[in-house]
Amino acid sequence: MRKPFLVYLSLASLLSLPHVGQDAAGRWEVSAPMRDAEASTAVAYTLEELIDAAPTVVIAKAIERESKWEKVGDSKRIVTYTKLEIASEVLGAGPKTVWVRTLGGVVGKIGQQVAGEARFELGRTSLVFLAQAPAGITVVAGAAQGHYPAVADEADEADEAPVRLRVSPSLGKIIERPGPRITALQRLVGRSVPDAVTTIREAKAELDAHREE
Amino acid sequence: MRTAKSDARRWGALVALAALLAPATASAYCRTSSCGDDNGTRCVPEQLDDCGVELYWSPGCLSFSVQRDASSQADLATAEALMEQAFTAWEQSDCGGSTPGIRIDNAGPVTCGDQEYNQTSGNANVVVFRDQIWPYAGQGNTLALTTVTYSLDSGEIFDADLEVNSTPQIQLTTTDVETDARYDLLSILTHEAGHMLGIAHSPEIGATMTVEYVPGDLELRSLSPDDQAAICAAYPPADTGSCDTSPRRGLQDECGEQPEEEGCGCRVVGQPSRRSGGWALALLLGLGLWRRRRRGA
Repeated sequence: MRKPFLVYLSLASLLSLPHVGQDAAGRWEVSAPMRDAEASTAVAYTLEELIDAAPTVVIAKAIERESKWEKVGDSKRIVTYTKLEIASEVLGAGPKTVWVRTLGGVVGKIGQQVAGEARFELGRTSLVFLAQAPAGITVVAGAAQGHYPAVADEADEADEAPVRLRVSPSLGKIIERPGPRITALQRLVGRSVPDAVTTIREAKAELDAHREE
Repeated sequence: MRTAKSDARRWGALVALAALLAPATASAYCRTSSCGDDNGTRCVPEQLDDCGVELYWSPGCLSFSVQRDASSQADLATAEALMEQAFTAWEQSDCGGSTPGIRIDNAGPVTCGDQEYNQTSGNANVVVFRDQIWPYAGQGNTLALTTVTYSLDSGEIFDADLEVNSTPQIQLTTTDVETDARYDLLSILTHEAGHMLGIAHSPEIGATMTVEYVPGDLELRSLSPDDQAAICAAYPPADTGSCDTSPRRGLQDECGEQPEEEGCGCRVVGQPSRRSGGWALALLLGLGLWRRRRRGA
């Protein structure tokens, strides 16, 4: 008999929600969802761990991307650079656009899928935890666990459907973390964008206050 | 007299009967797909966002190589044994009385520990442990990472590499005692082996390919009916006795593209440990026959 799975059952159902993006008029546009297609095995991050790993947290729209072969560590792999247009800064400050590197992509006729890495869809808006890798490269903190696309509520037929955060389409295998702490996914997925922003800022303030003590 | 209501009841009974008679097997699984310039999945039953062509090994024959340094948490012999066990679980799936049309050999250890795909020389589908540094984001959280390189047009998989995070922060265990287990290496390898074969995450709770995992759980070592249905659909039963399991353009021990003038760098660095004796024997027999005929002439 398999052990009961204690967490993320609700996340699995959220994977089937549609994507949203904003059209030229700034209206939210709903499209077919994209499912996870990759695989890694990772221990779930707490929100505090993600905030610690990410000096900058932004709401941003993917507007451009290009893939190429590049050396990462000792390995030569396909990476994708996505240009994010920052709509608002949740934590930290920086330029209005930023190129973010993720693992995997397509170059010519060769594709490379990389497990559990964040994957940006052009035209889509997301909440993103950004970190700095060596050589001044910006990456997503926590890979797919640091990427939360904004999704319109499928059940709501109103024009102004509430926009909530969903799991990244390439979220890998997530391991329940030991102890009583709840994860970033649990705290952010399903929340409206303003709620999530408040949660993150409050968590950051609590972290700072705790450190000052 | 037949009425719409009685027809509906009859259909309802038929559906219920069909449901009762249907084997208690898989109800949902997904395969990784090549979806234009993005990644995707194709699922059974079909999902709204299904896209592209499924990734697959052609013709279902592949090998893997553990990087020879293995790990301080699992030596080479242990790592090879566990990886063989993980792939065997997939190879021995029940496809209605037969097994899937896949054959996976251990090609022996290699020196190269990089995740890479060489486009002009040999390759290795490497399983490498990162004991010192995890070179990607999430050093303390990511346990394993699989990279699959494939043809954008056909979906044919060219190469698959598995990196395991064995840095000191990550306590991998190999015990069979559930209460002593932490991050069960065999469970992780079995899941990642599924991805190396082109199987995506399953929405079926309890499947090895599901997203969730509870530390200490050893059950994901064995495949659920859902996982088995996925591998049987991806690789229908077929005779794989004579297939070549070498990596694309041959097994290469060292990293990087090898210069052409020095040969492709493709050399057998270790005999495949399973079912490879037949090939060598046939080659020797053929050579013997040819020499005898030559002498006779």
